[in-house]
Amino acid sequence: MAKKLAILILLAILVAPMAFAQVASCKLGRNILYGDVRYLKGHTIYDPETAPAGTPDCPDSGDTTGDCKTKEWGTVCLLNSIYNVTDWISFILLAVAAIMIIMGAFTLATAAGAPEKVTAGRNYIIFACVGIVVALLSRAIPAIARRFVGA
Amino acid sequence: MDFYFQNCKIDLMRKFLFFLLFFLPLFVFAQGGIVIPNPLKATTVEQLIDSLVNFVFYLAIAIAPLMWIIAGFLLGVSAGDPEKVNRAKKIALYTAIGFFVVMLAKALVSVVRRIGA
Repeated sequence: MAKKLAILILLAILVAPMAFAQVASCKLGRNILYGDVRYLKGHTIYDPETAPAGTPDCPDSGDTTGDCKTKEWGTVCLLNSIYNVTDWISFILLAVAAIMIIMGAFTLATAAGAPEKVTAGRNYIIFACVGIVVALLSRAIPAIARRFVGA
Repeated sequence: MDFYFQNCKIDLMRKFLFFLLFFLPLFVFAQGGIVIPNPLKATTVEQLIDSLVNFVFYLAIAIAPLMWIIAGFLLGVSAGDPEKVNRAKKIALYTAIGFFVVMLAKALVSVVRRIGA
């Protein structure tokens, strides 16, 4: 029963956007650098074949100035969805890390000097902090890569 | 015997279909009327490889932070459990290695171009 329900919900999530998304486009949640163009946050990128009439072409280089259409919309939208997932996971990570730190503090407070409990509580806090630092480091990866390759 | 002949018939038909599939286009082209437009933007192999590598590079730039964050997440909820910490470390390590390889691939294109030029 639960399995059937899960499949139904999954189908609804997967099929609904396909059925209703007649115009192939995406609204960017972040600035996306692809090729020589910087697609700015908040602008909607359209597929040239289904874009509404009057949508301007995206520039060949430099920043986009508003909603526009481009042949590269597929790649840009794919990158946009990956960045969306990344943003959500980093948000969840921060929330979970906060809970882990509170758990560690609770374990420390109720340890009453028992050495193994103190170590466990300390580990909770240390590894939560390390997790946050690693997640923050990941923000620097694109910049490092571009500097390295010169793209 | 009957069955055999039937099979034979089907076999013959199949051969004829294959013949049609493979050789009909040749006859059509021999008339010289049809030109297939290039569906790619690239016109040389070099351009094609370059654009493919470029695509993979930009994909890697998006996916590497994602995997790194997942490693951070696993590290955060591991609470010092050596097995889980090891798993997170492995994810981070192999993400770094994969990313490095992708960047090398981009460099390789320019190296080959310099040698060829």
